[in-house]
Amino acid sequence: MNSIQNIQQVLNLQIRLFIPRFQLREFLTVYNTLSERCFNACARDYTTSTLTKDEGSCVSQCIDKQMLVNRRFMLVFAEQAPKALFKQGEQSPTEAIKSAKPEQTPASQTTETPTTMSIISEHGFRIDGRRPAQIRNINTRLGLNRNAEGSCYLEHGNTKVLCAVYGPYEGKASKRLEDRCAIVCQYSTTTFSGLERKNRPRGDRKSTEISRLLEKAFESVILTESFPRSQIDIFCEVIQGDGSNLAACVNATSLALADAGIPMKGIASAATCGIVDAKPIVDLTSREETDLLPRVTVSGFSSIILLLHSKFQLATICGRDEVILVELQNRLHIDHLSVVMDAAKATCADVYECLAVVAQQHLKACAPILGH
Amino acid sequence: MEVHISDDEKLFLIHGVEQDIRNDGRACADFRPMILERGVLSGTNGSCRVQLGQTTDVLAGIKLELEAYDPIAEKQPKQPMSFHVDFSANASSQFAGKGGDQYGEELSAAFQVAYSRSLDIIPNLSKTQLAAGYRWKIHVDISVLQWAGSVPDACSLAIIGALSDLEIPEVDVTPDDGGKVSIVLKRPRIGGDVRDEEVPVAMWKLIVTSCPMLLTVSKIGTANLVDCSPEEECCIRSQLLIGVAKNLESTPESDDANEYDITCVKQHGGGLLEMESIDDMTKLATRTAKGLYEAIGNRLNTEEKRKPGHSFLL
Amino acid sequence: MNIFANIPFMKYLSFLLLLFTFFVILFIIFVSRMPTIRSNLSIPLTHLNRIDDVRMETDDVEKRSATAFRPLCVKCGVFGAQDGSGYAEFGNTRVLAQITGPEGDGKWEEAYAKVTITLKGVENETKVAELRADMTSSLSAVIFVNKYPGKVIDIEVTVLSDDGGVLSTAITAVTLALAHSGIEHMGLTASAHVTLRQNGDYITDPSTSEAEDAIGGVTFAFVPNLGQTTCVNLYGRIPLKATSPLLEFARQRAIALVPAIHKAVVNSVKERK
Repeated sequence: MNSIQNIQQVLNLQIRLFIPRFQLREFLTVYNTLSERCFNACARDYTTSTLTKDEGSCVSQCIDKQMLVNRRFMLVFAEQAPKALFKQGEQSPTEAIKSAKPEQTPASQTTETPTTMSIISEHGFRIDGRRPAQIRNINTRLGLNRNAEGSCYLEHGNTKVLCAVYGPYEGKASKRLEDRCAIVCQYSTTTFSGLERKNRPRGDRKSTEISRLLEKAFESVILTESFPRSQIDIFCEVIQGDGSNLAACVNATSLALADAGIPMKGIASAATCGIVDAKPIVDLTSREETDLLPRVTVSGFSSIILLLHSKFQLATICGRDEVILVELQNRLHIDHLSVVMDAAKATCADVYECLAVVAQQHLKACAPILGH
Repeated sequence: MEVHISDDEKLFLIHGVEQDIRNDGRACADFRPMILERGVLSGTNGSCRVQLGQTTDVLAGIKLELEAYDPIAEKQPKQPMSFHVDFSANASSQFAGKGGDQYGEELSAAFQVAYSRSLDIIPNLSKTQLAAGYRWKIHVDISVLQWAGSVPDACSLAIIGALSDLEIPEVDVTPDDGGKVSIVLKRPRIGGDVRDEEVPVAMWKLIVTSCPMLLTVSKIGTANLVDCSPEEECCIRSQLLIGVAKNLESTPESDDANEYDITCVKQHGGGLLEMESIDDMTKLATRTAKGLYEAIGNRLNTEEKRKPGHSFLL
Repeated sequence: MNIFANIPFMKYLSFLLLLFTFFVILFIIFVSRMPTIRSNLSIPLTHLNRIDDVRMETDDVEKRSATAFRPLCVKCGVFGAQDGSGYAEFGNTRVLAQITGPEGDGKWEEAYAKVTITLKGVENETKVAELRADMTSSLSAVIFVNKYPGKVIDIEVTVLSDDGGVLSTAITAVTLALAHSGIEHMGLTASAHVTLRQNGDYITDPSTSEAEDAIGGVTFAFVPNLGQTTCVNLYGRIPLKATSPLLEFARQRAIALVPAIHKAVVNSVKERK
């Protein structure tokens, strides 16, 4: 062991000695080349031993120039050399230092991958030109399905949803409840709704899950006690899906329920919200939703679907909002939760305004028929 | 939609149609007013929505797919279209869950039969055959959003509309190593320094003037009807699904009998039929098809290109 | 010699000969008008497996005339334990039909019977849907469903081997099973499958290999004692002019099958006695 340590010491010593010598040689080469070049360029008058005024300024200019070039080279070299020296996959010295003390590295630093820029541009706009907190255009039409008690067609940008409400009617005996009405939801998407063609419009795990979520949400919105022993069917069909499908379905359903004249605690509104670099973005498109997915595994990144049920304007407790459904997909850092919730709440309030206007307009249009 | 009408109402209706007067004022061979819109869905390669009599509402969407198949196993080229009809629960609560699956499957199978010879019928459909082992697969999916009678008729019109709207990209097929081929999208050459990705891909369209139509002809009393309303469907004795295709090779001078081919006849929904009735019903179907081909041709020619961002149900 | 001396025996012999010739003539007439019928039905267990690739007897059928069926075998009542069963075989296409019911299942409460059809032995889903739709339509037309309120009639159709004309074979098998089960219906259904060639020739009951060059075909089923059709299934691409003669030809072929089906039913009744 001793001998090995000795050898190491000797080696270290040699390296320490070697490096200055190497540097000195380099320095001398540079110095000699410099002086020779500048002498050749500037010294013209060999009659006197001293430099003339012109020659003096020329020499200083020449040296400045050469030194500047040298410094530039050094800078470029310092940048490029580690990349050339350390092969791909190996840690560069700076990274090695960083990784050696991970507890000092802030979590946000690692999230800065190039895909961040594709969701929000450097000027603060998203791919489709929206601001992070801006929702897409909402278009609606109520009462277009003549067979159903209530129906609604709703567009969130390119997401198009059709919803029909049947009932309340005397449903199947197996589903009958003695004290309130049963609510049956079915969420289905047309086979051509997404980017890839689907083989089945409904019945897969995801759409069954969404159906159950809708069912639970609307059981708390509808005054189910008013219709004991009956059944209300809610059918949502996503004609074209471009993100925020569940939110669009909730919005369409609450309008369809309003169209059907079914008593509710209020008009439910919903919004989907995601988070990029601790900044919330609302009403995600499918492009943004897919962009989010691979990134979640790397960072504390997530999308949240928050369904908010805002009270009617007429109610005295209009300031208080009630959440009827929260769905979280992927991972989310706990610090970001409140940020996302706040953004989603604000968006829900915005969407609610839109829905309320639609419902009021529809009611006005129906007023002559109703005789008021 | 379930319709419950009494026996007397049925009798009134039957006596009416035997006099060639239907409850809504139409004659037996008349269709309800219809709306046809194309290019309604931006997420599809071709789409069409057809509304019949303001209540029956179907939406057809086409997705293209590059399909690889075994050229040795398939001796004769199969036609590249596949059909899927889905009855949305929106149309009627009886279609909830698996309720509409059986009817949907029947209708899909009927369309498959009606289009089984479409390689012969549609002139440029064989262009979907790109190379040995590769072809464009045309998935035609139909969603029935509202149901008030004669869904097959509405579906077949929607299919024709969607097929005419369908844009298929032109491709360059170049032989590759090992007997394989490489397929590259064809972009027209444009001068200047425009990047290749920015040049739109050249597209081609199908010729739909001879596409098969699947029509329902129903027997009520002694009369044959097309495009039945839900009330009339309650009184149907028996029904035929008849697939009619225009024969493009026939000369225009020849009579109607030469001009059309029958691609499918199916007795549907039970009931008995006289031999002679089948003949009469087939003739009625071809007469109706003639009118529909004219109407749809006019509509497809005059329909304006939709503005982007236009929403279709508004 | 002894034999010649035995005159009564000679008489007997000549009588036998005469009888034989008579039968031969009768048989020839019979054969020319009727389809070939295989006697001695028994379904060997091997037949219960699917036979896919064996396309035997195609040489035989090449020789038959345009109006002749493939060798066929029909049997009313195959299993004694079932409520009703029937078997039909046209060449290499073999179909077995079994009926359970009518019986209540506790769920069905309508004022008429529910007829359900289960298909086995066909893999292609589109084909299953098509066959089921055609057969449901054809059967619900003939069964008096109103006479069995709240009951379910379950019909299980097993395609043992498929060599063309499955639908007509299945309809024949089911009509025999119906007759065997004693469920009230309007009458026996006769069904025939006919294809049309480009040159206008008809082929009766073609096998898969024979139907390859056809431009279209039709499966036609009708109730002879009512003279009305219960199933028309026309496919391919047939000029409008040719459809009506094709249907008429198919009807004639279906009529030719009626005696065979009748005979099968009569035999089954005799067996029961």
